[in-house]
Amino acid sequence: MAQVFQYIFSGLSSGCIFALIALGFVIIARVTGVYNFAQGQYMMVGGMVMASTHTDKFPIAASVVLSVVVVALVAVLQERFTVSIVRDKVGVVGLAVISLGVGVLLEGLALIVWGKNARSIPSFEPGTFTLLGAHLDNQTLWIWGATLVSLVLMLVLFQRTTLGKAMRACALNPTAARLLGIRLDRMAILAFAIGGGLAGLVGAIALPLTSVSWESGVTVGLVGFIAAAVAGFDRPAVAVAAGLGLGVVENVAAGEISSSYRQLFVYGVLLVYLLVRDVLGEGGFVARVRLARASGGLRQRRRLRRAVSAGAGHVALARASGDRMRREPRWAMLLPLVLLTLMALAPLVLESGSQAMSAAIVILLSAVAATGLTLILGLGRMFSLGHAGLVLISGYTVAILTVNHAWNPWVALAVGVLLAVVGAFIIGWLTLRLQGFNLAIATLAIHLILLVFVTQATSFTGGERGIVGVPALKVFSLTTESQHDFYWITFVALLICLLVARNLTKSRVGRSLRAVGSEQDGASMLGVNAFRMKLMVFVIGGAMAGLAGGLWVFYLSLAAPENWGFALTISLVTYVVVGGLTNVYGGVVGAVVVGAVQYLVTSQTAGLGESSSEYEVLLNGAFLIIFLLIFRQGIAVALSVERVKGYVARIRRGKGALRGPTEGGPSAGPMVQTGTAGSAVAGASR
Amino acid sequence: MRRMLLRGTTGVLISLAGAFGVAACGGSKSSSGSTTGSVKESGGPSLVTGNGPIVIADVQPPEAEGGFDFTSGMLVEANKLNKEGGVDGHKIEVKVFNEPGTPAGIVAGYRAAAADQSAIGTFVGDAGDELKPLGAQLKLPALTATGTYSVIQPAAPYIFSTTWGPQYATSSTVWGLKHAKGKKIALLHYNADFSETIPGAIKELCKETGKPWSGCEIVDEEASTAEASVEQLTPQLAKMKAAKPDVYYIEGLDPNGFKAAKQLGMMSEGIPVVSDQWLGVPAIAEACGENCNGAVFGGHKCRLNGSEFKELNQSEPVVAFCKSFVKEWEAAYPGKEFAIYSIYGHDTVEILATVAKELLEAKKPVTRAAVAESLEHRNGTPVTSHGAVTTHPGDPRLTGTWHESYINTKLTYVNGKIVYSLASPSEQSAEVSEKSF
Repeated sequence: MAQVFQYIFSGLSSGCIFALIALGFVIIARVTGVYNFAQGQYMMVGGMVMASTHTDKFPIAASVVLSVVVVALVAVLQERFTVSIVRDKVGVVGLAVISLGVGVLLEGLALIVWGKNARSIPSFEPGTFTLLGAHLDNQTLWIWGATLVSLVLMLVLFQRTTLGKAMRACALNPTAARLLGIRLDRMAILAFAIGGGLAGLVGAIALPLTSVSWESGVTVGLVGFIAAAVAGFDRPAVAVAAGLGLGVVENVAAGEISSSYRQLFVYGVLLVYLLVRDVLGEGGFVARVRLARASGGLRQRRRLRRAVSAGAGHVALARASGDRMRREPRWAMLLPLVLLTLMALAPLVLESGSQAMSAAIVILLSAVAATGLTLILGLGRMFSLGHAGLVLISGYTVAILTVNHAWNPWVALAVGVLLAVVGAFIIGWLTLRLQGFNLAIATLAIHLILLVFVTQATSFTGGERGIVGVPALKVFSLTTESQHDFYWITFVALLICLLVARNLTKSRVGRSLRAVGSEQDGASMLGVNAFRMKLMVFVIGGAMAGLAGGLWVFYLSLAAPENWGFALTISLVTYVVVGGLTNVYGGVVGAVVVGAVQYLVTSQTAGLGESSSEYEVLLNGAFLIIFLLIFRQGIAVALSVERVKGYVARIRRGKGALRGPTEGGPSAGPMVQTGTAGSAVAGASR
Repeated sequence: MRRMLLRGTTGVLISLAGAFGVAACGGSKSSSGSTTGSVKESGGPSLVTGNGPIVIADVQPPEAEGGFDFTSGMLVEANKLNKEGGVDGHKIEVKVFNEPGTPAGIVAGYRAAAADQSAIGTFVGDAGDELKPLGAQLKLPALTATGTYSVIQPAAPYIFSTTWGPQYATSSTVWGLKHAKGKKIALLHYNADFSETIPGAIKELCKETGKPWSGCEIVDEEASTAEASVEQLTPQLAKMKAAKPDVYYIEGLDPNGFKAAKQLGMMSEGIPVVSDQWLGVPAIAEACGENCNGAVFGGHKCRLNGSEFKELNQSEPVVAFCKSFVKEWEAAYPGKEFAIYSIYGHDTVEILATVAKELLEAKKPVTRAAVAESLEHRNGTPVTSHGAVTTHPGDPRLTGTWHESYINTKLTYVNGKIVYSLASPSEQSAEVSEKSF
C-alpha cells in the first residue's frame, strides 16, 4: 500500500507542474482568446533564470521572484509585439502558430544565453519526508503549496474582484466591455503577465525535481495544453484538476501496470474521457438523439434530406454561402503555379545527394501531407492535430510489410495508404463530433498513443531504432534510391493530390462543407449531412497523409518514431497556416516557403561552429513570427493576383500599408470567429 | 469522384507530362550495391591529388549530446597533423555538414557528405541503424561513435565504429556483481539509441558460462523517457527497490534517475549502483551532483582527474595518449572542461589519415573503396584513444581491446566538484567480455 501512495503522491507533484502550466493557458485564453503554445517555454525560461541566479550569495526567494518577474515580462512582450498587432485580424489557429514561433524563438535565445547543457539545483531544503509510507523530497511541499496558493488566488481574482470580472468580461463580450470603459489592451497585458508569471513560478520551484534545458518546455507544455483543453480553456479549477489527474494517472499506470506504456494509458484515459463526455454530455450523442426524436423524428429529416440533396436548394445555399475558395479565377493561382514550376525544375539545378536536394525532398513530402491537412483544417474546419499519426500508420505499414514480410513495394504502398484511410475513417468516426478543442486533443492523443506503441513494441516495430532496410520503389526506369528519381515520383504524387483537392473544393462536397461552415442549421435543413461530409474530407486528407508516409519511408529506407513525431504535426499545421488556410494550395505554399527559409537558415549558420544551432533555432522562430505578422491570411491568399492588384491600387491612392482582408477580394475571414474561448473553438469543430 | 478525377487544369496536365518526360530522360539507374559485410569494389580516380588536401567529412547535430564535442576532437587532431606538415605533404581538411539529430537528418547529412566528391570518409557521431542500408549505396566510409550494437552487427559495407557497444553496460555491471552479495540486477534505461543496447547486453552477459557473473539475472527492468522528472521516475525506482536486487543499474542519461533513487534511499543502502559513460560528460555529472555520489561506470581512462590519473600505468600507450591529447584539447578550447567525446572525433581523423598515408606511400589511389578495404583489415595500427586498431570484415570496430582504454570509474562529489577516480584502487583494468556478440 505504501508503494501505491508513493505513486499517487509523486504523481501529484508532477501533476502540479502540469496544473500550473494549464492554469496559465486558461487565464490567457479566457481573457484574450489566445491559445498560447509558448507556456512550456515560459516554464523553461523560469527554470533557467532560477538555475543562473541560484548561488550562495543570492537568496532563494529573490531567485524565485526574479524568475516570475522575468517570465511575466517576456509574456507581456509577446502580447505587445505579436498578439496585440494582429489579434482581430488573424484566426485562432494563426495566433496559436505565432505563439509556437515565440516558443521556438525563446528556445533559440536560451541556447545563446545558457547553452545546450541541462541544469538543475538542489532542493530548497535538502532532505525527504514520509507520508503514508511514501518517501518524498522536501521540495514537494513547495510545489504543492505553490499550486494551491496559485489556484486560490486565481479563483479569488476572477470571482471576487472587480479586476477579475473585468478580465472575464473582455472574453465574454469585448464590445460591451469596451463600451463599459474596460481597457481591453490592459486586460490582455495583465492576463499574459499572470500566465507568464505562473509558468515562471513553476519553472523555478520545480527545478530541483526536474532539470531544465533549452528544449525541455515542449513536453510539459503539451501536457499542460491537454489539461487546459479538458477544462475548455475556461475553468481554472477544472484545468488544475485535469493537470493533477494526468500526473497521478501517469505515475500510477507506470507503477502498477507498465512503465513502458504509461503514457499510452494517460492518453487512452483522456480519449475515453472525451468520448464518454461527448456521448453523455450536454449537446452530446444522447442529447442529439433525444432532440431529433422530439423534433419530429429522424425518418422525416432523412426524407427531407433525400428530397433536396440533389436539388436546387443545395445550389442556392452554396451560392448564398459566399464561399471563398470557389470564386477565384484561374489566374489567381499564379503564385502556386509559379512555385510548382520552380519545384519541377529543382532537380535540374540541385545536385543529387546535396543537402539542398534532401531539403527539397522533405519539403515535397511535407507538401503532400500538408495538402491533406489543408482540406481538413481549411475546407472541413476540423482542428485535427493527429495528421502526422496517419503518416506514421502508412510509413510503418510499408516498412513492416517490405522488410519483415518481403512484400512487393507497390503492394505495400497501396496497403499503407489503405490502412491510413481506414485509420482516418475510424478516427474521424470517433472524434469528428467532438466539440471545441476536444477534437484537437482527441486526435493528438491518438497520434501520441501510436507513438508510444511504435516506440515500445520493439519486436514488432523495432522500437526507438525503428525498421531499416526498406527496399527501393521502382517506377518504370525511376527508383527511389536516386534522389532525383525519387523527387519526380513524389512530385507527381503531389500534383495528383492537388488535383484531387482542387476538384474536391469545387465539388458538391466542397460546396456543402462551405455551407455548413457558414450556416450549419440552414445547411442541415437543406439536406446536407455535415458529419458525413466532414468524414469524407477527413478520409481523403488521411489518404494523402498515407501517401506521404509511404513515400517517406522509401526515401529514408527507415521507419522510426522520430520521423513522424509531434514535431511533424506542428510543422504541418504551421505550413498550412503560413500558406493559407483558405487556399487549397496553402499547404504547398507554406511547405515550400517555410522549408526553404529553414534550409537557408541552416546553410547560412553552418559555418558558425558550435553556435550554429543557436542561431538556427532563433532565426527559425523569428521568421515564423514575421511571416504570420505580415501575411496574416497566409501567403497564398495575401499574394493572390486580386490581392496584389488591391494593394497596388491602395498605394496609388496613397493609402500605404498592407492591411487585412477588405471588400472586393474573396472573403478570407478567420477560420474561427472570436468570442469566448469556448465558443470560439466550438465554431471551428461543429 | 470519377468526375473530380477526370477534371483538371491544362497547367496541371502539362506539368504532369513534363515531369514524366524529364524523369524518363534524366532518371538514373539504381545501384543496388552489396548487402554483405565487406567491400568488393576497387578502382577509380584518387581523391587526393597534386597538393590538394585530404578531406574528412563530419556529419553532426551541433546541439546534441556529443555534437560539437566530436567535431572539436577532429579539429584538434587535424590541426596537430597540419602543424607537423600534413600527411605526405597534404593538409587535413575537416568539412562539417550540420544536420538535425534525427534519422532523416543523419540520412541527409550522410548523403551530402557522399555527394561531396572530395571526402575520403566521414564521421557520423550520432548515427544509428539508418546508416546501414546506405553504406552499400553511397559507398562513403562512415565511422560512428554511437555505442549502439546493432549498427555494427551484422557488419554492413562501408560502416565502421570507433567505439564499443555492450561493454559500456557490462563493464560496470561486472564490477557491481563482484562487489554485491548476489546476482540480481534491477535496471532503469531510457529511450536513446544506445539505451536499448543495455538490457540485451546484460542478458547476454548473464548467459556466459564459467564466469563469476554467470547466472546473473535482471529481476526488474524499467524504461522511461530521457526528459522525465524525479517524480515521474519515482514509480520505476520504487519498483526496482521493491524487487530487492543486489545491484542497481541506472542509466546516466537523465540525472533525475539518481535523484529519485536518492529520494527513495537507494543510494545509501550499501547496494552497488552502476551506470555508463553518460556520467563522464561534465554537464550531466554536474546536473547530477551529489545525487550521483558513488555511482560506478565503465569510463575512458582520459576521464580520470589529476591525481587519480597518475594511479594508472603511465607506460600504457592509451595513458600516454591521454596525457598529450587532453593538454592539446584544453589549449585549443581554453576555459572549457575537457570534452570526453572529443576522443571519438580524434580517432576518426587519426585512423583515416593513417590509411591515406599508407595508400599514398604505396603509390596507390586514395579512393573510398580503397579506404574502406584498408579499414576492414587493420592489424594494430594506428594506436588511438581506443587502443591498437584491429579489424576484420566481420568486425568493423576500429578499436583495440576494452582493457587498453577503459576502466571502471567512480564518480564522487567533493566540496561542490566532480571527481573521477578508480572504482577499485587496485584494479588497473576492467574485466568484461570483449568480443562477444
